[in-house]
Amino acid sequence: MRKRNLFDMLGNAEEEPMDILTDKCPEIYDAQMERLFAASERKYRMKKREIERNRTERDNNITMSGETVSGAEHIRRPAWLAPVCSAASLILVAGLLIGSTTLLRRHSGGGGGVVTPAVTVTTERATGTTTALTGVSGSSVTTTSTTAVSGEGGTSDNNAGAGTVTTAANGTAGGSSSSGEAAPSSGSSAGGGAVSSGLSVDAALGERAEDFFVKSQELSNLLTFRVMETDDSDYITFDVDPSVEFYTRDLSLDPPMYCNTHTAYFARVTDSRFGSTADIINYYNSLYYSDGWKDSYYGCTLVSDGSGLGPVLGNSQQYSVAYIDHNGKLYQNTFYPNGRHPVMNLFEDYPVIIKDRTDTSFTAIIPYYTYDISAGMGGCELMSFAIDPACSDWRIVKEEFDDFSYYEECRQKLGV
Amino acid sequence: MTGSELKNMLDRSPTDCHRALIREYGRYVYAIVFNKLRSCGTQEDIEECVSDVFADIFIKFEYEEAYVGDIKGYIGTVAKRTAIDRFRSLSAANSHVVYEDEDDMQQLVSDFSVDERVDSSELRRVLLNKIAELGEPDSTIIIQKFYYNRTSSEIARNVSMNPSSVRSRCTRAVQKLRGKLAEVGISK
Repeated sequence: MRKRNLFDMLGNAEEEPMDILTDKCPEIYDAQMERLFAASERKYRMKKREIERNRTERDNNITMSGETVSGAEHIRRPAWLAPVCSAASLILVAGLLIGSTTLLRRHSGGGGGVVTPAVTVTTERATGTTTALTGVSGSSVTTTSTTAVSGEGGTSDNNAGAGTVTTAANGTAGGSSSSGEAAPSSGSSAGGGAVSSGLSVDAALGERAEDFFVKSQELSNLLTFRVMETDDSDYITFDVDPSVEFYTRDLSLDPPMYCNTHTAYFARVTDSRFGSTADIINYYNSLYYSDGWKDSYYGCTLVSDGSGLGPVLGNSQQYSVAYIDHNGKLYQNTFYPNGRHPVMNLFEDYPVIIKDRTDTSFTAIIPYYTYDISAGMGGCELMSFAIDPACSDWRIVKEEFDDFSYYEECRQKLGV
Repeated sequence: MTGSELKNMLDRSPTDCHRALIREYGRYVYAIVFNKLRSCGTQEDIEECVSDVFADIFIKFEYEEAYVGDIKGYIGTVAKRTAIDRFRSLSAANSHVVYEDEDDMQQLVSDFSVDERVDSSELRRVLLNKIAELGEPDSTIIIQKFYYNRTSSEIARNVSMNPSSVRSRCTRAVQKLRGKLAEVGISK
């Protein structure tokens, strides 16, 4: 049994014994009294603060009596709130202004920005070597290695295709096959090599291609001021900055000749359609924006939105412009090389040949002549089209040029 | 002190009121808290609890109480409840009672055993009666020595005696108490 202090039984005493024990309780001396008082005050203040924080009537303006509550609670906003809000607003407004200005600048240059081609057509140049091995049984096995180099198709001035065609035969029993490098087609061949199958004549597609060709040439000629009929005897001249290399058609000579001179010659336009530069711009715009032409022609930089009608040399000198109004007449610059470039006219007697036709693309081989139809001087344009998924219509995606002999080769293969 | 008097004092000066309240009811609250916590709390625990009681009373009278009569009973109730709450929290820890005069304690603790079947309330009454029969200042010395665990020096200050006299009187009082308890059947 656990031994216990006899006085433990006095613990948890009832009221009567408690009175005796209280009476016998030792005195609380001053030091202990102060200690108790300090601790009580500290706890009292803590509890009071807690209560004040949670009270409804913490604001002296609010009074509660019975079931009525009246007054208004005062809310103090932090002092730092106003400047922070002002700074945030300023930053927001500044951000909006800067952002909108940046966007406007980015999208306002050049009348609509850069047009990204919907379809990028690449040409592939390939070379191959073939080795033929003869086996014991007399059969032969041919292995072919091919190296392909891809690159974007070039413009009409580039040799975009080397014209190499590689063929290979594998595992031909009882025989042998070999193929060498196909010889490049003569001259500047942009047509992707020797004539192969996949050629046809399609009236609808051909007509579409002809329409594109005629319009593009007309626009191009306007930009390069070489299409107008002029009266070379009626001209005006401007002095050219001696530091500028200026090669022009000297109309003072008989006959007029191209030479490097420091005088710009402008011949009077006799074309009845154009009496002023405004007529040219209006005509250009009517072509450019008609029938969705502008949209159809993206991806090709041959023509633009008319900005090319501005200064030829990129400066603001009088002699550098393409056309000029003078005394109510229109004059055209004879600046080289524009005046020397041949005008390409459609060979209407020959059909447009369609090549590499698929459901979504084709290439039109369009014959044209330059100076004289009877002289047979000309070539052919290979105008590649692709379906634009956005509008399910044809778009020009590439323009290349080849000799007229390439067109003739295709035409003979087709027998048309 | 009545509730009204307390309110008046609070209106005049809360600090003075608090001080007066502690001076008036400090021993009373201390005795109640000590009675509940002596078996499980230290002196610091008891004083902490006493300060809690007074802090509660200050708050209640400032915000809630409209008690106008004698506040002694009210204070006693608050003290008891607060002490019981503290007892519960302290009971979770190890109970420890400090006995400062181990030699004296041995005289009464000895091998005295309490049959747990005996009514503790009756025992308490008998014990206090027998202590009271010792007369003053022996009864005070015994209570303060063995119940309040005060040292002879502290008791000497309370009863205006020197510590050695307190010790000798305490020894004789314990002998006397043993005899009285034996007469009523409380013995080994």
